[in-house]
Amino acid sequence: MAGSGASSTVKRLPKPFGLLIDRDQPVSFEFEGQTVVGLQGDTIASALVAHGQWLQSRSFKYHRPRGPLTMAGQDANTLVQLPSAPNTLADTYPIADGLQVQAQNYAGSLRRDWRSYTGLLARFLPVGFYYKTFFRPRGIWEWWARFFRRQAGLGEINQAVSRQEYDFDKQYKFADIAIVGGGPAGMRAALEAAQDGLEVILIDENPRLGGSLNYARFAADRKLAEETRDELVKQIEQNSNIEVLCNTVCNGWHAGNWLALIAANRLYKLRAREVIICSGSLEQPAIFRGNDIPGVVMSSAALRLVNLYAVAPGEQVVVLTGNDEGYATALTLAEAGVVVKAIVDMRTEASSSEFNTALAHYSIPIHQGCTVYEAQIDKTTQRVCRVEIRAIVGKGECEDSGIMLDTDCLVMAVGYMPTYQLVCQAGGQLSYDDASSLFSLDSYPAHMEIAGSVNGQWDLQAVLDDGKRAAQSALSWLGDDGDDSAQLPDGKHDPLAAGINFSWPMFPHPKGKEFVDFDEDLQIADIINATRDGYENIQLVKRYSTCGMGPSQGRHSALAAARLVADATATTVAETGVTTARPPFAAETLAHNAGRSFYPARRSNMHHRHMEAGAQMMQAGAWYRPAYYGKADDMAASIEEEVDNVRSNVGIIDVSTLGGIEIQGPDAAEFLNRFYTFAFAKQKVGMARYALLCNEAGVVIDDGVACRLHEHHYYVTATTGGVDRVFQSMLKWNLQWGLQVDISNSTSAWCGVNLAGPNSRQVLARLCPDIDLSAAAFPYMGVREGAVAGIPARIIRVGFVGELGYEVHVPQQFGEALWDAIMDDGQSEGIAPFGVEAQRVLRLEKGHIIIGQDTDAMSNPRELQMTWAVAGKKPFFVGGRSIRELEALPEQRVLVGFELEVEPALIPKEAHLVMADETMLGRVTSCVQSPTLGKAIGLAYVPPELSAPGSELTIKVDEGKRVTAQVSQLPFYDPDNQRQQL
Amino acid sequence: MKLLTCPLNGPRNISEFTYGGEYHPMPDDRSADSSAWAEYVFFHDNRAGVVLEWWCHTPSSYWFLAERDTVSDQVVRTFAFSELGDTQEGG
Amino acid sequence: MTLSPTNHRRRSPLYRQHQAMNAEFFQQGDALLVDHYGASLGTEAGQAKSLGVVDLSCVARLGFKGPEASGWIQEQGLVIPELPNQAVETADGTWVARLSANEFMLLDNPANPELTLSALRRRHAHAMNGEPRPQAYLLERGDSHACLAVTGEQAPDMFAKLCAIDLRGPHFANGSVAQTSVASSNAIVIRADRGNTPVFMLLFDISLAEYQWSCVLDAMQEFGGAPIGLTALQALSSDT
Repeated sequence: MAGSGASSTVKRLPKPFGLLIDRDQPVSFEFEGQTVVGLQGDTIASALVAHGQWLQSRSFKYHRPRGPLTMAGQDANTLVQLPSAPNTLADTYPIADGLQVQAQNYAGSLRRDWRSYTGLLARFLPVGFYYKTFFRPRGIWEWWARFFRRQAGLGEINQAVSRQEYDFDKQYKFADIAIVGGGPAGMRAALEAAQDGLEVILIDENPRLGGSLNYARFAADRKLAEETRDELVKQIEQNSNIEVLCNTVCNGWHAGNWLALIAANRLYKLRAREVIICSGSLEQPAIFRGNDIPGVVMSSAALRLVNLYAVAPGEQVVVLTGNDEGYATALTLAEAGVVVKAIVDMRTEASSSEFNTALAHYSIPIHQGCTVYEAQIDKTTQRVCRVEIRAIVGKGECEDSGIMLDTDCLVMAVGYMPTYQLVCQAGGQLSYDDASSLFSLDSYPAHMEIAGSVNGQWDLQAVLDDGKRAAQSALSWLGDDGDDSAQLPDGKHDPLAAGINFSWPMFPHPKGKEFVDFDEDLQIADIINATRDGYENIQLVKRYSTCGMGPSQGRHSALAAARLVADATATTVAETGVTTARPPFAAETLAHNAGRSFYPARRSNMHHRHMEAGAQMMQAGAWYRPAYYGKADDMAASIEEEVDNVRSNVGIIDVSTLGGIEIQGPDAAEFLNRFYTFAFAKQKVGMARYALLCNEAGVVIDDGVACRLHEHHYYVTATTGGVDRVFQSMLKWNLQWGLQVDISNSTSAWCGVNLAGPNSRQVLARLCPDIDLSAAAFPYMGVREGAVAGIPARIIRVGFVGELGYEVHVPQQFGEALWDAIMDDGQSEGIAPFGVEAQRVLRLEKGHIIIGQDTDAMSNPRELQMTWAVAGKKPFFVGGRSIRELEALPEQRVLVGFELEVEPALIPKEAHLVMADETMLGRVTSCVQSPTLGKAIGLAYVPPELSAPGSELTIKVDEGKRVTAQVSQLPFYDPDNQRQQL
Repeated sequence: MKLLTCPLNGPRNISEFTYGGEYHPMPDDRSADSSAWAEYVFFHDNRAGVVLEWWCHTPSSYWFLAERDTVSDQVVRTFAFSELGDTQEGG
Repeated sequence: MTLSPTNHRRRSPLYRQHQAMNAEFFQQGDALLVDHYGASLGTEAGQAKSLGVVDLSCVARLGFKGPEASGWIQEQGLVIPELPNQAVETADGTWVARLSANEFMLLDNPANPELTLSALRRRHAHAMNGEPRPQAYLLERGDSHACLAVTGEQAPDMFAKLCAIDLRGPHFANGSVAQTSVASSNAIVIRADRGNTPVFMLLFDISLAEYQWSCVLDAMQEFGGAPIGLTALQALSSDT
């Protein structure tokens, strides 16, 4: 493909133009199916312009033809589609052999886009269209929405792209001083800052350090920029304290000087002690009819094409200028051999700059006091072909007629706006002086400095000095961390800056199409009409008109919009201001933000044994727990089988996720007395006691058992989801109580099982011959320490599921060995594992509540019928006072058991309502079909008058059907507690 | 991301911390009247200005106190609970 | 004969991962440790210097906590760090990390197994049975925490993908301790160099072992990092 056709013979400008390209390395790629040959170092846009292909994309709304505007990735005029990514910026994306590029936002062909006729509909799509259409007439929005979804092209995501190509991730970075912008100010600042051995990171979005020194002209002697750059780069390369990050965009400033940097597929999170913003300035367009036509470009873009890529922007260029930069551009173009047909200078007085003096040699006609009133497009090439020049007679006003000039490239140089975004994200304020048309930035936070043209410096020496000053200021911050008062800029404007911005480069045309916002196709009238519709505040204008809401985020529309709004509302630009700058500075992908996802997953030491036994796992917080063992379509039968096996034989469940907290010290019992509701002072060593936890409002928030292992040592369990909070809460309280206890979270130190069922004793007995398991020696709620299968263990006789049962806790890494030993040993009984689902059925049969399922943010012990677990006579416990207050108030509701016999579809579910006619009386918190009892059982909050056993409850179940249930005494199963006491 | 300086561990990303609410000493739960008790349990000062707050560094489970200006959102200082005696608790 | 972790009562939560990589094990105490993986014995020494990870979950660890913990440990003849978030290496290669004024974590030297820690455990049990009982409580850190040693020059860059703390040489010197978040979960990082190679002990809740192991392996990929065995880790010590 390479070298085929006429494309390879395209001429480039002679050296030294073309800093970034390698003339010996042709690169062949495809644009719209056509092979294009560029050079190594070209971007898609520079290679296309080299072939005269200015038309590269279509606008979002009217599908107007668009081409490069900034050549710096600052606009949305060249969004193209790559196979792997939509919305790629052609003016910065490097070409590569075989790269396939498609234009976006067109129907038919790029050259003849039939949807571009939407432009004819423009008068039916007034400003605020979306707002208006949302309201009335009713239903019309849906009609328009279909139209716009087809119309508004945004490229296409290729869902077939492999994971590897989207291998995005994140990494932290650290620096003493981070400098954003590798232009003259940034480079100078870096060198100054790195002198003290501090770590400096210099960030630039371009492939080559130098910023404007790479393309802009600072003096009649064009070598000045190049020599300055080479010297600075040489020093930077020799300085090991400076890390240079090119091709890296700083997309956000966040609190604590935390910078979001995007480099290829990686998001760097850079934490810097000091930040220096040397982000430069953004050149602004002139506003006239046809200012968006391909071939109408910023002067900085023309200079980039020439200096970076050796591409002539046109064969007969017209320069429209409002400052001396236009003359500098014309001089560079002329030196490169590009024909400059005319200079159109908006100012009334001739330029006295050294560029103009040097230009005399080229005899370029200068139209003083004039502007381009309209640019016209060549229908075939879709590129500018002619401009109309008119004399300026007032602010934004021209004479009634002018002269026509043929041209194929119009260069605009009318002023700049500081690249203020990062500074304003940090809280900086952007000010504008209406008299001088100059901006300034202030009120940015401590530990931030700004330097260079973002700080209003334009003369090269002034810029370098400003970089040095900023670095010294940052160094003084580092030296003296105490002074946090906001740093003000020096406020001195470089005298060169005075003429940099032409005050009113905007010329309305009766037929419109003078674009203020290229992304959103907004014209002068749209902004003015927004103010007439009553939206006079710039923030409201933005939202109403969508001005500045496109991909370029107002970089070229904010100033013009502010000027227009100020003019229309008879205020100053300073008063009008600009809209808030928020991250990201440039478009970023969701993949960058997602990075690698970290979802911590906790597994017990027995985890894989569950998997091998066919468990269906569920998540409980970060933990994986077995829900039940068996096939997914066999859930109900599996659960029933597991329940039956526990009730009639012996089952085993992994309870490792249960929280465990060690309370040790002389005041351990006193601590528990204060923390939990129950009384613990008289608890015997070797016994466990139920522990109910309330918060200060008397609301039940957790429960567990407190095992007294020693006079001064309790092992307290907590719920799986609650233990971290309970542990933190214990520490916080004891800081204030100052008791002599040590509290530590030992949840993961232990791996445990609950061995439950009438045959559990005989299984366990064979594994721990040293412990007497008889009912007399090891009663219900007893606790023993000993060896199980040779493994050191804590054994607790508990009855959550209502059968004879032993919780066996062993050090975590012995968990799997314990499981193996018990499963092996229990074979003779037919031991089988059971999961969380069966446990929920078993505990409900036994009438035990689950905190969080059967309680809510209001549940107190009285309404849970758990006052038995509250020791009211204790001097103090957390929640005690509130519980007493609540007890003095009439009872609002009671958690009761209920039962009913209905077909499976009518069994109430959690959150189903207890009703009286159409009045809600309460709600169901748990309900299951009990395999043991052969009926549905559940728990529900009901009013006290319905709480007596035998009361009838009407419950509204699925599909609005109603069933009747009877309130029953708890527990449903084994009310005399005979089985757990065996 | 914001930084908060833990008295034990130094400056850390705010994501390493758990907020523990405003610090209020508990009134005597036997002698306080009901409204004083309700005030303590349910109400927060929500003061515009410097407030005293509980924070916990999660990885080390270390609780400490922070004086934070709710107007400027600057943390004035952080300190161990044991140093509370040096601070005047307002309100 | 190939040793199998399932023949031992103490099992690292990562033993299946080691088996899948053809680990050769050796026995230490109740458990097996990875000597090396498959045929990579010859290359693991170099791997350890650039970027490697060793599972030390089955190497003994003990915690001591309480108002009298620092005094009690010192009475046993151990040196302790002066300040929290510092660690010191004792003569026999045990690392003593101080997590707060009253909390310590001791990491056994796998080359010198349980020399110090088993003695401490015995003496502590004895003390707790006597009077007065010291307010220095023993915590089973070998079970509550898993431990990975991340070795090599590139370890700080790898950690920068998982952790917000700057672990580069001058910023996190040998003996530094950070209690922080690694891969969105609580962790303790202790710099415990061997020879002239930086080594970071990464300790975290043992139930997260498989998760954290996969995060570290994933983060290592771009630097060419890989799991290594104890032999390669210990070889670093003699390299000065």
